[in-house]
Amino acid sequence: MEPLLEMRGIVKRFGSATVNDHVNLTVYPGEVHALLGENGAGKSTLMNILYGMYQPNEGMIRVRGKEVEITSPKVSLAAGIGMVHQNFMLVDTFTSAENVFLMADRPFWSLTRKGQVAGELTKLSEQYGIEVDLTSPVSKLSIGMQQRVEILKLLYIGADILIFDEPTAVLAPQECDALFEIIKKLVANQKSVIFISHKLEEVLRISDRITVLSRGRVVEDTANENLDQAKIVEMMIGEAFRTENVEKTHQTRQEVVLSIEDVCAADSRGVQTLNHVTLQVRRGEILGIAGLEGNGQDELMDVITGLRRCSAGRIAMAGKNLTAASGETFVREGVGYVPSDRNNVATVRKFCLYDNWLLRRKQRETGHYLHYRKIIRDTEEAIAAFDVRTSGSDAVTENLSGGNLQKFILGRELSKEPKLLACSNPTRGIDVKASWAIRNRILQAKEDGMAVVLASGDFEELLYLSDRILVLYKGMIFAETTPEQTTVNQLGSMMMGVKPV
Amino acid sequence: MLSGSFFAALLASMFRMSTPLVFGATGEIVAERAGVINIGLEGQMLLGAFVAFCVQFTTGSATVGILCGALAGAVSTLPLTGLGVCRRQNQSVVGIMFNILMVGLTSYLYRAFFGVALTAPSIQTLPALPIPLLNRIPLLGEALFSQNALVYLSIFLAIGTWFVLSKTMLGLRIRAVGENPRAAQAAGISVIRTRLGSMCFAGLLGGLGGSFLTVAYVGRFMDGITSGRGYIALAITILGRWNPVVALGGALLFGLVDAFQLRAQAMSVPIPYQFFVMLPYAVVLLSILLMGRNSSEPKALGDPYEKEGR
Amino acid sequence: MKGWRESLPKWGVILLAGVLSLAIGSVFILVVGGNPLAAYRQLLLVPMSSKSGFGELLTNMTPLLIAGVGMAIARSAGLTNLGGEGQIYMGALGMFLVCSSDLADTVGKPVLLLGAVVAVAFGAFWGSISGALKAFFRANEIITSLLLNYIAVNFIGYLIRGPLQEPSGMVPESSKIGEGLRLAKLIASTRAHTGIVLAIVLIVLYEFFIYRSRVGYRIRVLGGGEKAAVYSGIPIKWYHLGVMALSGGIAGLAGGVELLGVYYRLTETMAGDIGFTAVVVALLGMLHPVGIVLAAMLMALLNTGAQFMQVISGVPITLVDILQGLIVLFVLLGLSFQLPQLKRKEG
Repeated sequence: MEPLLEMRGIVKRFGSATVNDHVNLTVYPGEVHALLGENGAGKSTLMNILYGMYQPNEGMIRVRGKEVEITSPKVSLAAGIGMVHQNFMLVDTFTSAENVFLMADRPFWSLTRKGQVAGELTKLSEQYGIEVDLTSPVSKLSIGMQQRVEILKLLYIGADILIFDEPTAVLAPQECDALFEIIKKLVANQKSVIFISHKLEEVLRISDRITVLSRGRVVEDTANENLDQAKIVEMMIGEAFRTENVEKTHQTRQEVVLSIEDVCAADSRGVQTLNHVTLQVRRGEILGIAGLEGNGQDELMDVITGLRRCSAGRIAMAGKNLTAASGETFVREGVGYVPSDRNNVATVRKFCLYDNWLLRRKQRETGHYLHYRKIIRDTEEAIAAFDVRTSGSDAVTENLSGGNLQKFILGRELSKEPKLLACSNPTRGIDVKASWAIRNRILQAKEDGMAVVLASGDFEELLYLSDRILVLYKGMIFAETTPEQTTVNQLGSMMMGVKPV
Repeated sequence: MLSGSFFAALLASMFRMSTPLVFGATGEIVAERAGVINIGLEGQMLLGAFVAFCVQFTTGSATVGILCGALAGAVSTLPLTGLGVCRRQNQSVVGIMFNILMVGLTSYLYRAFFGVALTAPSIQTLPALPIPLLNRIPLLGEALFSQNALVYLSIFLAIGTWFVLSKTMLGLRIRAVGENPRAAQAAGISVIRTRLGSMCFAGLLGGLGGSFLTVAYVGRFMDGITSGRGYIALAITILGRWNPVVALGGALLFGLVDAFQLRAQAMSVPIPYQFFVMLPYAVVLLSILLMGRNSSEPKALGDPYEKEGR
Repeated sequence: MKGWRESLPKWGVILLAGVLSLAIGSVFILVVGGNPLAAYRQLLLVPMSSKSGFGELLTNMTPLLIAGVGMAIARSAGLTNLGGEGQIYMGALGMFLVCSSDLADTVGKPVLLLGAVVAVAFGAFWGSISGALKAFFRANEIITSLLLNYIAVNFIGYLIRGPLQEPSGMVPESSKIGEGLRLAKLIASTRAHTGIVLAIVLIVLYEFFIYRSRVGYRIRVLGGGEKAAVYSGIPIKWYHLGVMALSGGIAGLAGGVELLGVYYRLTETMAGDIGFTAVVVALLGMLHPVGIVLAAMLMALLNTGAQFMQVISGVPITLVDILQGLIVLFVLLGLSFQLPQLKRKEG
């Protein structure tokens, strides 16, 4: 059979780093081809080249046997290649139909006749079993629905090769099943799917062929036969991987650190997304918060760290009422926070590391006059202690890789010896080794008697770290459970508002 | 005093006073909808006013003058887009420096070309172009349908721009670029080219607005003739919630206040005239306050955009 | 691989920008039939080579340096204060009111301290209007501060034709303040006055405030991004308000010093372009104290030399605006090539 897509000898360099080193990839029609590799292995770069976002330094790309030079996404789309990005490429304020229509290759003067598009879309969505609300603004749709709009966009312009970049990272297990149904229908219609994921069991379940990248090179290209997770991990990192677990104890102490009662809060659009939540966190306890994106966990984390005011309810830290307190008061009362946006929230990108070391520190620690000699010394000690790979404390923050930056941020927050540590997706987008370093630090903090609130979209992480798990659904606490009592699948059901039987 | 003719004259004056703002705000809305904040509008208007004046002074043709003024405005956005979009510098800072440059440039060249004469050189202002039949409508005929061609053009362009932005593919693409440039890029739209084009359009209209001041209103050029109208147009963009038709209303309101204050100055009221001169600026500030915040602002407004960025 | 772009230091960029601007400027000089070399000699060297020229340079530099510090504080917080002109007028008004009050006659020179406080307060009030509109109505401070200039100028215009006009009622200006209240001359038979000492003190305070104090640090965090500022527990609305007030207050002080050192009275033209040029000073000085001093010196030099140039070579004075605009735009262009180049995305 003739391959639909061939990438031959692709080389991409950024400065002195070679991110793709003579990579080959062949995809046949009607197959799901999984692309695996650790962070930094070069998967995203390869796909961005295929999608015309980046230009390769060497190599060539053939689609249906014909060589194409993909200079922009436009060329890529015209060649029938489409990508479902990890961060959806949707215009929030547009409706689904408008988002789809945006892809249309029509002259600029033509009118946006919405009715006409709607007809075509309904036909497509029936053919592939994709249910979408076409008339509401995208921002009002659920994450799963937004993803379906992305798929519909690509089908509308007749894409044959669909790239899925970690499509399940934001979905509940049940939503994943629905996605896999759609993918099966796609390949049944002779479309090809390139599937990028970290979740190996999914890869084994859905893919026909697997290509493994490591340090920019293809280390394996094999059919999905007789494979198991251990074998794939070995291919990915070139050695059998063991996690060094910290001994986990359940010695929760009795003192309540954080206590919130009946708290409500609105998101940045003014929509109330947190409804009457009551919870307590004790010393030496990790409280896990599970929930699909948009079910209130971001607002909950912001409320308990003082980044957002609650609209109703009471918040108390170690018995002290903080309900209407300023953000500064939360800092003063010892609330540390590792937010999910490392680059824009947890740090100032343009600052050097020692300037970022001062961020969110109480006045008693820094004083009114800043003693930079001491600050730099402290920063350098933390850089060493937390194994942050960087040129020094005067490195510009935005030059750090995600894992190193996250270790720096966690180091900074722990250095404040907070009473409460809040972590939001602490390992999202970070490679396996750094992730385990970070998880173990969080466990250590708990052992040291800190109260920890952990919101994460990574179920295994939640189950591994938490002592208790609260499931948020539509801004309310839907269920409370412990890692011993639940499984990934049950957690998934609860996140979608279904009580497990 | 509140006779019909006074009222008609006031309204006629309102349309004239608001025309440069309608041009400016309409152009600015397109630039901002594409995600570029064009603080340099004041400079583009100033340049348009100057070039239109010079060209009409030498060629004697108002049409050629206006065309050249508009063209100069459009071309002058290229360095702005180059620095603010392609090179990702702070767009406000670039715009401010551009305005200072334009103040210097027009004033310098005016002295270079015309010297310091006792009587300032002047040109024939654009004649009125009454629209047959419509100009017989009482009140409105005198106020609106007996104006010069640029007044009509400004209203036509505001409504036309609204149509293009909300109803056509081009408008959809421009708005997508201003709301989420990465999504637009993923849809095969060139963000840089869209922004370049939108800025050129903004400059073109800014140039037209400036041309109106010299060619159709004053008939002379003087330093800083725009006296902040570019900035007022920026404020009207916000008041108009990035909708050219609403902005048209805002510009007319400002024009009405301006027309009123000019008349009030002439009447012997016991209020010092400076307070009347202040009035339009105060009204704009006050209306920003009353309109409050709003959410129609393009999400990516002023954000630097990297093609191969994170 | 390190290209020429990364290896070119900041001062090299500025130097190159200066040379390019002068080169383009010489085209303009040729347009009016001038000799670029002669004109530039008058523009850049004459003020430095005579006592009167140097005195004039210091006179021009003083308000630029003071107001430049104010504008730099706003820029540090990511705000742009285009309302310097209005704030300078309001500050001058505050100083004038104190100096022409009965209190000034009885107390004498110490009243200047009160004058300074009132000047700062008046400027701060004017700046805080934009700050409040930004903080509570999310209005663009660039637009509001600029529009406030027109209101301030007309208000002063009214005062000096009405309640504050000099007794004869002939000219639109106020009467002069008492001789005992004026700032001492720094160089005899020039206009240079001791206000420059205040300006130097202010720039030292600026360094300590912005780069060594906790509040200054938080202002810089705000300038780095609002999200990080919220994360850091900074009440950003109050900081917007406070920074605009501080920025306006310092511009107001510049107005007060101009009144005490140069004009001795309120006029309609005393602020001139200082408000805008001060923004140029802050930008060109890259918010760095030494940079601000050098930028203020350069702008003062251009403004001073331009007068000689206009008189001797007949080149219009507004060449200076062109040069100012060009040099900053070229610096921005040059620095844009110095920014850290694209980093690879992870994954």
